[in-house]
Amino acid sequence: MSHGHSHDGHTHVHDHTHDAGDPLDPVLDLQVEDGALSSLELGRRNFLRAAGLLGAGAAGLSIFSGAAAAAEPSSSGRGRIGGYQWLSGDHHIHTQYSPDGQYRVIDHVQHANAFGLDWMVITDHGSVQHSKIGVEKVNPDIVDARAAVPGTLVFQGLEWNIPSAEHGTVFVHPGKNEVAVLKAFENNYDGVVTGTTANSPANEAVAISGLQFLSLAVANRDVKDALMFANHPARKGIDSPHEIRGWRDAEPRIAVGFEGAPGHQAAGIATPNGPGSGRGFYDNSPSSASFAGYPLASYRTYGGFDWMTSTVGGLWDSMLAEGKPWWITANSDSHQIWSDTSVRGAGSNFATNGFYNDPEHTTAPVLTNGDFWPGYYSRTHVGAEDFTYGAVMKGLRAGRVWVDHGRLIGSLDVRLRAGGDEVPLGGVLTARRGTPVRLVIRIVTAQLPNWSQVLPKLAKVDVIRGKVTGPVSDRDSFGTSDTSVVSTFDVTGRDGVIDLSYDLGALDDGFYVRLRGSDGKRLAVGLNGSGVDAAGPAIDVVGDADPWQDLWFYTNPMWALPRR
Amino acid sequence: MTQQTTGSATGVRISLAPVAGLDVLSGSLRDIDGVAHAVVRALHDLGALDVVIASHVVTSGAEPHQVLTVSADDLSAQEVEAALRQVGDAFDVSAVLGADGCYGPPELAAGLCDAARTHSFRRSGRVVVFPGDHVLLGTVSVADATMWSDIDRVELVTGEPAEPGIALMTRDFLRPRWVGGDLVLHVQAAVGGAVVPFETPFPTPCCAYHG
Repeated sequence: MSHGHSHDGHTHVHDHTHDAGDPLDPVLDLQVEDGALSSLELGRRNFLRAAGLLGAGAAGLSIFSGAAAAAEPSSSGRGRIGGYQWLSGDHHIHTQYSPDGQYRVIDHVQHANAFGLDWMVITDHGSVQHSKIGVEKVNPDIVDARAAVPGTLVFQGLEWNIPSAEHGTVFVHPGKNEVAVLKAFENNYDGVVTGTTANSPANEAVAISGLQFLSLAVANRDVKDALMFANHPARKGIDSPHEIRGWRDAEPRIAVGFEGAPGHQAAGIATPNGPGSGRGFYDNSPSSASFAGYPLASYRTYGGFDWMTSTVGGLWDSMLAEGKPWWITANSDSHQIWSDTSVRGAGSNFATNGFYNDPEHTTAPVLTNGDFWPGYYSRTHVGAEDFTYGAVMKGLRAGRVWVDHGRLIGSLDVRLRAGGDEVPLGGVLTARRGTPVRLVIRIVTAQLPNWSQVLPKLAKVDVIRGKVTGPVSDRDSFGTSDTSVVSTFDVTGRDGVIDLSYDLGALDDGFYVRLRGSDGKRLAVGLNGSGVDAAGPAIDVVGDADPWQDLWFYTNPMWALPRR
Repeated sequence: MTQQTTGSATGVRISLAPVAGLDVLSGSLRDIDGVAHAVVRALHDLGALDVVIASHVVTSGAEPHQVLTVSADDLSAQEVEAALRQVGDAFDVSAVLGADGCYGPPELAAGLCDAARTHSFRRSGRVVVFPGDHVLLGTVSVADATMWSDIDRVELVTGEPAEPGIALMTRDFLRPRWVGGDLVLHVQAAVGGAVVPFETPFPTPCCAYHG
């Protein structure tokens, strides 16, 4: 240990070696004041300080080691954790039936299965060609893939051009009407097919009508179930806060969330090894269709996550503070895979045929592609009652969902407890005012290397708490001042089962909690300041964002509300 | 977020030249930049040196779109107006705000007037052409950007000031914005410890369905 502090007198319960780094590192040199550090440096210092590794005074974290508990199977092993099978999936995948796609359905399904996904949704772009041809032609490919790869559930869906807004995933439960319902939806409510992409109140109303159509299709038993998630919501600033709230409030059983992390996670890999773009291909700036209130900072990703989710006290939190469900997911948005050795089939004519010919081999890996195969990097884990299509949709709607990148952790079990009762992720716990509330977390660290052949190491877990303040008066608000990181557990060097417990105090007017964890490699002060998020995700560097060197997991929230 | 204090004198800064405007119903940033470059060529032909052209989003007309506002210190208002009319004539629809009022579809006038006022007070706007922009090519330092051009300060999109000594890779494409009277270039971290402007010259035209 070369830096100027000692662990003597600290009550570290974990045994590990700190890689403190360069003694001249300004982050470690307390002669350098906080104000003289960059946001990135201050984020790292805040983390070390909170962990008691910098200066005097440990932070008194209530961290304790799980007693020799047997490691439970990882999420993809389908062992039950907390009574649920945690099924890993991806709801955003394009095939040769998309104008910017390339692969067969079976190419994606085989890879997704090999990379550990239990469920996936095929979501080709809504378009004139797709509404006439693709939506029908893709179905037999999906049916065949279901038979060929029984270990992965394959939903048929659509990437909806939401009228007046961004894209969204729409998908239905398999059944005899799945194509008919999706086709009718696309022909009547897709923004491109119906010419309603432009920003206007009239087009916003078309989006709501589309959600109502899906709701009616379920009510009429045309399909067993249907769900919608908004995709890459902050990418171009065109999903205004009131539109997102509008979808949620119009059809809360259909429109249930948005991508917390977009796909295209390889897009930020530096040239010549990658596209050298923004991570997630987030490299746009405000246009005339953008919501004018969004800051420039909203157009970029932070630790690979969308600004709406990554900002503590940001848009997502402002929605959760209303006390209404809205869930996050993480997906691949696979179109064309980074370093793949195939290209679109020769002689293709998408405009006429509605699909590209099957891919063909090329010798040189294509390093300008920005995507990963489904399951390779991004995963959405759903607590399902069983391994069925219906259970996955039910778990998604319930918000029993956490997400991670690069298989950062093996498994996660989170419960909110009060008065002898408990709820899992997505749950609402009600108890009498004054009842002590406790957050109980069990993490099994990654036991296997990820698909970059590296064993990910979790460094810290943050507890984020927000006050429930009720419905907003301004439906375009995108922030709440009552949400912050309230505790950070340093788990550096921990392996196996990590049990954490956090005392949330006596139940007051109501609050929610959510978790976030990191490999600790890129930390920065959050956009709302140190007091809200001292060591959050750093803004991704344009043209130099190696996704494997910056891994996070996020959970969905749980609420504790007083019983009336 | 702390605001960096600049060396500029306190008080409201107002553009001394009259501000003209042009609306050709441009939808995208790419389109409006093309129109701005046509305007600057026309103004240079008339002998202008210090030209400022900014783009603004307006909500007048059928749907939100981009308009241009223009000031040129060394030309008369009539000369600027003539140049804008000449450029506007190449489009199906155009409205020009000149010294004596607005010419063109009346529903476009309000947006142009609002944009011109915004330009006068440097309240907001994305600045496409500004004095000194032609010097800031390739890689320069952050300090160079403020020394050699009208840019008042360089700031990270997350709010902190950029260090003066850091390399700024301009990509020959700078679109600073007016913030409360100052011309601010927003940047973000880039490869090799440099910074790049927030706005990229060729953003990903994802899925080809949105402008």
